[in-house]
Amino acid sequence: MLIPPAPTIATMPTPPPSAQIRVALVEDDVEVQNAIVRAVEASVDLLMVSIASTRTEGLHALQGRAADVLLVDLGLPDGSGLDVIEAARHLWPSCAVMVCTTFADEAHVMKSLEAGASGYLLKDGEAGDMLREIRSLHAGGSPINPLIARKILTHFRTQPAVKAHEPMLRPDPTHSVLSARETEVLELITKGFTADEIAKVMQVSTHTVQTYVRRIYAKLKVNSKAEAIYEARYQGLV
Amino acid sequence: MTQAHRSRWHGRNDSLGSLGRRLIAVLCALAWILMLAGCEQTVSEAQATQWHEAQFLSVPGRGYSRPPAQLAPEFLTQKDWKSVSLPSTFKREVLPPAEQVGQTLTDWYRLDLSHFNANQGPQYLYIPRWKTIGQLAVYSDNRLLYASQGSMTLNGYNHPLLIPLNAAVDEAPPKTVTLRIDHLRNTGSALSTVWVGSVEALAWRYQMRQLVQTQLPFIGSGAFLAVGFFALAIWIKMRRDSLYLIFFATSVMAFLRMLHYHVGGGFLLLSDEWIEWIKTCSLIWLVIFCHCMMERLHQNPMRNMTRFLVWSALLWSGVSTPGLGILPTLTLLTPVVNILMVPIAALIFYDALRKGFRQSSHETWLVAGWLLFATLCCIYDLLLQTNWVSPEGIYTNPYAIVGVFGIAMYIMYGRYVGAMENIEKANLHLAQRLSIREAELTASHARLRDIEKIQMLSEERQRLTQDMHDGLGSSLVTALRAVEGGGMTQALLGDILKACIDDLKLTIDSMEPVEADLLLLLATFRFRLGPRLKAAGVQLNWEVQEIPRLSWLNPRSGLHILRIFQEAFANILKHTRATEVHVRTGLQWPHVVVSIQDNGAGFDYEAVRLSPKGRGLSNQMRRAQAINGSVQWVSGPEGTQFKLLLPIAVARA
Repeated sequence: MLIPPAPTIATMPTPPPSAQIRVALVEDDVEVQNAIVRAVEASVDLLMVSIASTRTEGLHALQGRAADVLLVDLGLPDGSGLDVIEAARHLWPSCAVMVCTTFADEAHVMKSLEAGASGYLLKDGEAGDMLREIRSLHAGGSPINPLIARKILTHFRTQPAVKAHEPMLRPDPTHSVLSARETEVLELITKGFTADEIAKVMQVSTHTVQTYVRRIYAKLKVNSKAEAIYEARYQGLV
Repeated sequence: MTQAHRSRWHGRNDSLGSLGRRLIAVLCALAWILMLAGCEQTVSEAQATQWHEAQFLSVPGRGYSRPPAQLAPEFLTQKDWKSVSLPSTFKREVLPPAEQVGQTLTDWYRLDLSHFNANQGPQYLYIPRWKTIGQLAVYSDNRLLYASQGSMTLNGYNHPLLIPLNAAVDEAPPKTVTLRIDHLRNTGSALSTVWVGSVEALAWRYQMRQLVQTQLPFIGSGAFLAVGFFALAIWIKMRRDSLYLIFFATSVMAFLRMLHYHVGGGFLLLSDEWIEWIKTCSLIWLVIFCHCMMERLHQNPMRNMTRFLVWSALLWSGVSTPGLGILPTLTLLTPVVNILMVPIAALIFYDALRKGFRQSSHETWLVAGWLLFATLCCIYDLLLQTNWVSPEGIYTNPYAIVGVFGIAMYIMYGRYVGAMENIEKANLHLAQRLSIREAELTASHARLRDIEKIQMLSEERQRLTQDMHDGLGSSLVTALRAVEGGGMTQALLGDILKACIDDLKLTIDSMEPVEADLLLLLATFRFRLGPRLKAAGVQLNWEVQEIPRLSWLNPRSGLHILRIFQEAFANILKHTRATEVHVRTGLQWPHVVVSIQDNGAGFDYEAVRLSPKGRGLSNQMRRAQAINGSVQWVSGPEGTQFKLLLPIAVARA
């Protein structure tokens, strides 16, 4: 297994305003599919480039030209959407992945984030909310909720203990820790503040707060990957 | 000793057997040393000559006199000298005739060294033993060379003698050596063979005899006494086992009894009378204490016999105390006492031996057997003391007594090892019982956990069922009835379904662990229902502050809190036409307060509560009570403040 190049999400180039955001969808529920397709097609800046209803179709779609945003449902009839998210990370490295979820519950979302997703989309959201989330994700921001923020804080707090097992003495570049500002953002989120309110407190733009969240997710991805490598090395697999 | 104790004793022959073999090895080594000491009688080497014959002359007198400095040449050459063989002995009379008391004899022994082919260098005189109640003097030619020290009785009779004959520069070896031994007419005297030779040939003989006759008894009695004090220390801690005290007393008596074998021949602080008193009394008490020790071992005492012995010993110790003048000089009575003690001791020890065998008490018959053997040793010592056997023999009593000590050690060792084994067994037993108990506890714990789990599952099921029934279920039924009645607009249906999804989301969130963090629970609530307020055009001001952890917060209480807020927000949206809502947290000891303030039209709390529409309020009150909290409303024209008060401390069950 190769370690992918260090994430460059913070410096992700903003696409030219004229270009449309290319959206791909993997979703088995026809009604939800229709709702998303209708919303995307109704907006001029978004373009639906592929629609898949199963894991197989979704993986097949990844062979084609990369989309900008990929929406994936986890519970597909022939397997888990997590496989599609994993594959997309390698095949479409520049594509931002969103997991479609009914409840945005911590268990599903955390798994997706670790697999490579950058955000989630609530299936019961208004069409306008959905489009705003897709655009925000494409622009480098990520959504978050208090339970996930708490989970991530706990995850990074236990990191030093994991590092103690590492035989290397120098700091491991594949292991990341949260910066003070990132931790602050997460803590404010667990207290119920919205991105807008946090932006005001920290005197930055709402978008900056959302890019903090994206960066936190990237670190989570790196860490889960580093842990997997460490585990594999430990068990003599690599 | 109990039956169980005895059987334990016999069950451990292996370890004791090996100790026994070691004991036998030590005894063999001792015997070898004794044999070496005995060998000197027969070995004759070039460097040392053993004299088996001497010229003898006995001169009667009245009372002891100090030896003269010079001997007249005519005294050494007079014709009364006659030849005697060495060792030479004069038997002691046990009870002397009255008319002889006070009469003394001075015995002279002359060795002719004129034909003695001595090597160059100093020659030494070695006398393995001389015995008398009196003193010894040695003359080299006719000049006094050496005179023994100490009292008439403790004159050093058990110490061998090694003195140089010509120590001075260029002094030639003497032509004759004359020994002067004075004694009472009836107490007898003895002289062993005499050696003349170089120091190399005689020193080791002298040292060996010194070791066997005085040093080993001294070391042995000292060790016995040391262990005796150890036993005393044990007895002080464990008063009920008098065996240890008796052992201590035995060791003291043994030490006192053995004193006269190694002291003497020097300058003692005690008078002869006192030494003699100690000697006889310690022997009597030693026998009695040994008897008591064996009674403790075989547990079959002869109480009257013991009492008689103790009283007799006390009486004897009392009347024979020096200075009271009740009895004549003890020196003369000692042999009588010694001879009397032999049959008494033999009888006592034989009785113990018999009991030991009958009870198959290993300890008893071992001690009794040895003591019986020691009694036989006493007989030999008596013969030696009264000059019936060769004076070159060695007193065996010290070894017999030290043997008692060895056997006592052997018994202590057995008891100690037995105790240790019992402790080990007890520990093993304890460990087994512990592990069994542990297994039982684990099993019962697992059972309890299963029951708990079943109970928890049942409670959780009840909670969710209740929740579904009150919220989701009733909302869906309302929607169904409306759709069936045909009076349902699409927008209304959408609203009802959205409310149902919100219900579900809160239910799911309540199952996440919030780790006692009420703010996290509130944050989750805002995340879920904030969009609804926003959609209704109500501005939400989130003004929460840090609050203490609520350790009692769990999914059940969490869902109650979420539902209370859900109801509060629903009321604001449905009834108040508010445009702004403030959510605050604070402390109102001993409660945490969450307040929701709106700027809508207020309501008459009492009127609403009593009306059918007041079901929401009573639901909130019911849920608050279920988690030991309370709700309050303050309503006026400028808006309504809703407060939820929650206890900080763990809620009462």
